[in-house]
Amino acid sequence: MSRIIKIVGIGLIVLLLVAQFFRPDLNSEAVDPELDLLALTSPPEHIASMLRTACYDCHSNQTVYPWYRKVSPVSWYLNSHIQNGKAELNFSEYGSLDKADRIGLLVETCEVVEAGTMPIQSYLLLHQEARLTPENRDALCNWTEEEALKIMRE
Amino acid sequence: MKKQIVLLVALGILFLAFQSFSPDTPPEKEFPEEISILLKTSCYDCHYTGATAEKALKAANFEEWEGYRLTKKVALLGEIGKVVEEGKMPPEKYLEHKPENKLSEKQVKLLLEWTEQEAEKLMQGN
Repeated sequence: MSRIIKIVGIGLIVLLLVAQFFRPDLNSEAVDPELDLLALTSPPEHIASMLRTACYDCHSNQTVYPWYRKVSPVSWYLNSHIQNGKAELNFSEYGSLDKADRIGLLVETCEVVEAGTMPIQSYLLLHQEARLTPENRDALCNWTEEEALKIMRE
Repeated sequence: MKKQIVLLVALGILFLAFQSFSPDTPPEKEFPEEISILLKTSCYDCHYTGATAEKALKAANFEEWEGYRLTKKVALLGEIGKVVEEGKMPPEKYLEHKPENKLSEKQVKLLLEWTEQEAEKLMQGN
């Protein structure tokens, strides 16, 4: 019995070690000022920092990684979240959207934040600073609405 | 007997009077008729007050269309176009029960043209 445990244990350790050689590419490209939401709209600093801390890790090409991102399989887990997040919405490509889609993105951003579905729970567990207060949410929604109306007037 | 006649006449008058107070334009009036029909058939089962699909109603409730703010309308129009074009709506599960409500290619095209025009109109009108 104890031999089996030993073998399984060693097997797992070996697997873990091998896993370290398979680290996904980092999601950290340079900001494209022609396409990035923050660069294009230059929101007030408190809004910008909210977007950066609460959204940009998974919804942009500039993830600010925690130290544990280097450890597989955690790195795979993070990477899948980032890829999914970006597929759904990528603030780094905001400028490539047409007017209606930009408005849609802003409205949607406000809605998911207001509903509390974003940022997701698992992210908040490890990112206390990404928790949004009701005041934060209102401020964000006021800004997205303002920005959306600006686009409508373009 | 006389009383009853008076009552009937009074009711008749009331009834006639009410005719001039037709309720505010029903929401579908904002949509062209052919679109309205499509929406009713393929969307309203879940996206209209009275539906039980809470999530669907929250995402879009056509009964409340007129009350939606401009930006929300434009956002929804874009979303409608997208989900219909990608065949995500009406969802498969729903179509299993109501295959007759599937949108034909022509209907999808019609909806797409409408969502784009309508969004454009709203944006210009602002």
